[in-house]
Amino acid sequence: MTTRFGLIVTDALPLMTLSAADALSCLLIPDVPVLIPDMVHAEVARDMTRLGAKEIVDWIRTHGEQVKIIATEDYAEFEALRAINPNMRSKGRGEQAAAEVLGYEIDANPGLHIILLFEDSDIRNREFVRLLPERVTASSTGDLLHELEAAGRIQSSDRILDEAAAARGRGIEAQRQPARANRRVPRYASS
Amino acid sequence: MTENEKEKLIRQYAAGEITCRALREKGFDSFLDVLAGLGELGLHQPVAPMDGANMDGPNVEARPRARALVREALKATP
Repeated sequence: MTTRFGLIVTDALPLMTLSAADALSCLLIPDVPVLIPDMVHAEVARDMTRLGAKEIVDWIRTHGEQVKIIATEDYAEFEALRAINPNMRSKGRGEQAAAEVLGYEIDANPGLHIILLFEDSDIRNREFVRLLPERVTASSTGDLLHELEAAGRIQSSDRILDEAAAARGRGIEAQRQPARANRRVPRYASS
Repeated sequence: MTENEKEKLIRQYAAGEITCRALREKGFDSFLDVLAGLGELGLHQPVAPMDGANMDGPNVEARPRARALVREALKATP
């Protein structure tokens, strides 16, 4: 029997990276819930005209059974403050909201392990889990892609990261070309 | 920020010398602009080293545990 775990996306960057590479399905490991704090979702959705935002929102809707947006007090507070100051930035609040979701999930699901998903430069430089329960751990976009590659679920993690950068470099219109013949979908997932 | 300064920062980010947060603090409003800059320079995002000897940072114990969970789940899936 495998260990039951959930994935909490702590920041918009992994979503943006995978979306730019048309590889959001890399997050869909069977029976592993993907929990996105509403604050992180708001950061993604804030500007729907930017590359990736619409794709991410559509993807969340399409995979609603597995991908959940979790409401947080932190986001509610942010919105209340933003009503007073529309220029208020969301800096750091994605992680705060993720911590709130984490607290709720570990209390509500005593047997559930949690992986906190971060962007790679963050996971290398900042400490997240030292004071958390043993069943909470941390990973990055690169770590996840590496495991998918090792398991033969994707051809190349580097290729996905290259594509994320190249797609953006080519510009929005090129990214949205209808022919997505090279869509990278892990074998177990549909997109 | 000049184009040269932007390019220097993006190269530092790609080399793992600075974080994306640092880029934000230095004036990159959107991560998508960072991705675009990487693409224009033929670079991609840094990946945190995964091998024991090269792995560094404060999460070196947590990351292998997370990867083991993912590996286990993938093995259990046809």
